[in-house]
Amino acid sequence: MSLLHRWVRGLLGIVLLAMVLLNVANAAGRYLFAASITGADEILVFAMIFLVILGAVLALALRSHIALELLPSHLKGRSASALFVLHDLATLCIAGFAADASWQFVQRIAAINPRSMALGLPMAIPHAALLAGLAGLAALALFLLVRDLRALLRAGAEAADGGGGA
Amino acid sequence: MTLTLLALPVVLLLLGLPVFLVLLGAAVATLFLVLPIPVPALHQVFFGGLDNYALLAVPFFVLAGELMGRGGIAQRLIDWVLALSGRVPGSLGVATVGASAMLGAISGSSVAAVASLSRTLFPRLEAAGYGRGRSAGLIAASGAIDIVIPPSIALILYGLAAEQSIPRLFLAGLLPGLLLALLMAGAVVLIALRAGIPRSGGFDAATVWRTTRAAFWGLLMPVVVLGGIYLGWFSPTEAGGVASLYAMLVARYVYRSMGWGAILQAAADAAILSAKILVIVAAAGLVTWILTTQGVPQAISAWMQSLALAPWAFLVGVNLVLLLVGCILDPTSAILVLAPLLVPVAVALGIDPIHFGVVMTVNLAIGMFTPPFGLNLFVAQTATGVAAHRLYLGVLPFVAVQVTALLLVTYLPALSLLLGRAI
Amino acid sequence: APMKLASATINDVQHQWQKLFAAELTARVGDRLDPQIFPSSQLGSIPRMAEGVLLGTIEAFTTPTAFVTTIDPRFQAFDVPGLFQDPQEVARALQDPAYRDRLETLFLDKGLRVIGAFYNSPTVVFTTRPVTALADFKGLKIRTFASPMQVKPMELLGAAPLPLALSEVVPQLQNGGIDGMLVGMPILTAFKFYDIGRDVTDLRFAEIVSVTLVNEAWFQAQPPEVRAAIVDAGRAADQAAFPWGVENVARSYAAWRDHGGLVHELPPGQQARLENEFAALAAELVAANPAVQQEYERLKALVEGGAQ
Ligand code: NA
Ligand code: NA
Repeated sequence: MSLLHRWVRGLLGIVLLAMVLLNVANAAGRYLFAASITGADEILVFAMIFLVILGAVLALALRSHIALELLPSHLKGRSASALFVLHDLATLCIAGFAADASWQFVQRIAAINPRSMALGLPMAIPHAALLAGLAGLAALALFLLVRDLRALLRAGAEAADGGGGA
Repeated sequence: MTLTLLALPVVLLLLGLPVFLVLLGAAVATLFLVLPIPVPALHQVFFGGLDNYALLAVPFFVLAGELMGRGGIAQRLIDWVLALSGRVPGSLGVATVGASAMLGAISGSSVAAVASLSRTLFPRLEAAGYGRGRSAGLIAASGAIDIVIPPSIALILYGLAAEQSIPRLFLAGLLPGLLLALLMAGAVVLIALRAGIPRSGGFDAATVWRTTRAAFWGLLMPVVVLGGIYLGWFSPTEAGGVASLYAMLVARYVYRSMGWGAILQAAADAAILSAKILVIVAAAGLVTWILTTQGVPQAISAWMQSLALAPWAFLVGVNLVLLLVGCILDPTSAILVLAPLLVPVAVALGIDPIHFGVVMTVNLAIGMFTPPFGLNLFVAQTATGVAAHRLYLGVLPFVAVQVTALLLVTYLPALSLLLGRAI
Repeated sequence: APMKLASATINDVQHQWQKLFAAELTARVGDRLDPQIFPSSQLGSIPRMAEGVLLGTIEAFTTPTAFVTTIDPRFQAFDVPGLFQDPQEVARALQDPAYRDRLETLFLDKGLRVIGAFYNSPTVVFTTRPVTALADFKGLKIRTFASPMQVKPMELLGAAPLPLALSEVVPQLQNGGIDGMLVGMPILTAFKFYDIGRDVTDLRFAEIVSVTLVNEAWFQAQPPEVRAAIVDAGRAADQAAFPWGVENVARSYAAWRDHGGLVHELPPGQQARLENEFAALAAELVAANPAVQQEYERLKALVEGGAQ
């Protein structure tokens, strides 16, 4: 596990545990003292959005997203590498266009500057987190594309070498 | 639009692209290439799919499941159920159904139950000889019970969309939920008998006493969580946080089976699994939004109305349409979109709207594990590592079982309405 | 071209307004615009619909003003406790021709145009036990929005205002986790809250005003005669929706009583005292924001001017 991977995992774990504590504290405050923590609901939901975005990027890096594994599980070697390249290309396109749409949204929202009801938090902040996530997915897809293309070319060269030797 | 919303996703799905990217891709293609809707809608609706308080149940209950599994709580509970049901054929399978029903009474989230059962019971089921596909299939299908037994997010949303009383809907879901559990348990017994799975052992009082003592803190958990909900200490969503904290404290301080490092690892894994689930929920919501703006659900409802069916035939039609819809959409978005359209038609035919709500919910619950598309399937697949085609085969018998239950729920309205009338 | 009209509710005055508007619009422009109505949050939660109309992904959004104060605080002016005490006062202010002109363009700086503004319903307090005197409010846990316009009045009554997600409200009411909620009267009968409790206290502290907002960029992209038709259709729908809304509220009270529900009022002396306290609170609340105060005073003058 790389250092970055460990740091991201640690962050995800800490955020979720903090959410649990805030959630229980809020419920206890409401029941016992008839007082809730201002904006607890909003913090919890925004924290969940943050978890989902960061977790989704990490899962893409690890290729562990939920998918129909029928085809990938039957491919090996060069054809598997080729399929990965195809996945990376598709991901790059989809996340890239989505990030573009998201960028347009966040620009407009930042200009109008609506705020959340309880905390008065500028809504541009949680929205920007989604933009960062989509842009992160696109950037990661580009990185994976370069890596998998290299692997494909290497596999191609090895196959050619092996063919020449036979 | 058929091209971008049907052909493209099918191709991407078969290529093995992550499901959320398949759905997001369909939405991107439709918004950028086909529709005159400004593309920022994509961000707005995707964000909206996540900005939903009720979804917090997912990470919380997934974490509770992880902690129960790794902290030894689930193990002790299973030992206890097995000690009690040792003489029943298929006792472990029955215990799986029972555990799901129990989780269902705690939470309204089907995927959270599937995630936690996959962690705790899948290895045991496999070791007992149920087979990988069948074991994962059983878990995916059992999860459906959770959104029919109250509390249920699906029933709350139906109540809001169809203007029906939520407490009445909760009452109405109880017997159908138990019926689902009962039929599932019966099917598991038959499967175990046919597969010649050995019983877990005889019933003996000493073992029961020993396992009961060992499982004490685990048995207290549903008491605390359910008791807390029904005494008004916390809400059904908050119950997930309470369950997590409870499991954490028991694992750390009572069983001393987990250090803080292990708890942090469990939380990280729970967060990542929740992220994989919720990102699909949000992307599915995006596709639903596009279909809704294009009047697709409205057209389906108008078409059904135009057929001028008898009530029983209308219900058959609704079941068919919803099972089909359930293959693609998740129940929450399907209910929000379809209930306002279908309920007036049902009421005009003399069908009780409370009964209709239960029919819709059972239907969409089944849709969550009918191949090829369904959140329960995806979660079971990820959490157990069973290959998709084996899972599809493994889940099929339970599709048949629950469709039978659906027919009973559909044509015996009393199942849904009896309790409401009694009170 | 499609004109998507979104709202969070169904079969209420907002839905009725959209139907009336659609008919009025079609009568004026034929098939040049195709109004499509999406009730019950079919196009997303309230914050998402609000963003949708800001961004133009949804052409029109009908909502109580309380839900768009996050976009522009001036919407708070309509929800100041004690401003409106009955539907006629709402109509008097909103249907004043000069004020109506002003209101339509008040939020153009946010990219929003008001094409409808109409009476929705009274805000009442639903409780799971009877509240017939001011002292009964002491310590009650009342669900409110996280808005000072709802939080502060509840604090004034000695109750504990608790913002709570909508999905959690019913289970918490049933199990005693909370004791009540602030709510528009028709919501109570639409969602059959008489299955949970029977007590409603009518404090006459606020009337809900609903507005229909359209995306201004979309509006400006229409030909002049279509723009005029949209404005006229909105005004016509306002006129027709008012009596419907008043009757709808009356139907709601009747349905509540038919199902065994009770509607309490405070003893006259306490009600009068409360109204004085609300007036003081209102002054304090609006003083926090000069723009809100200016709008509030304009409305207040219209309400009082009509009373003379
Ligand atoms: Na449940
Ligand atoms: Na399905």
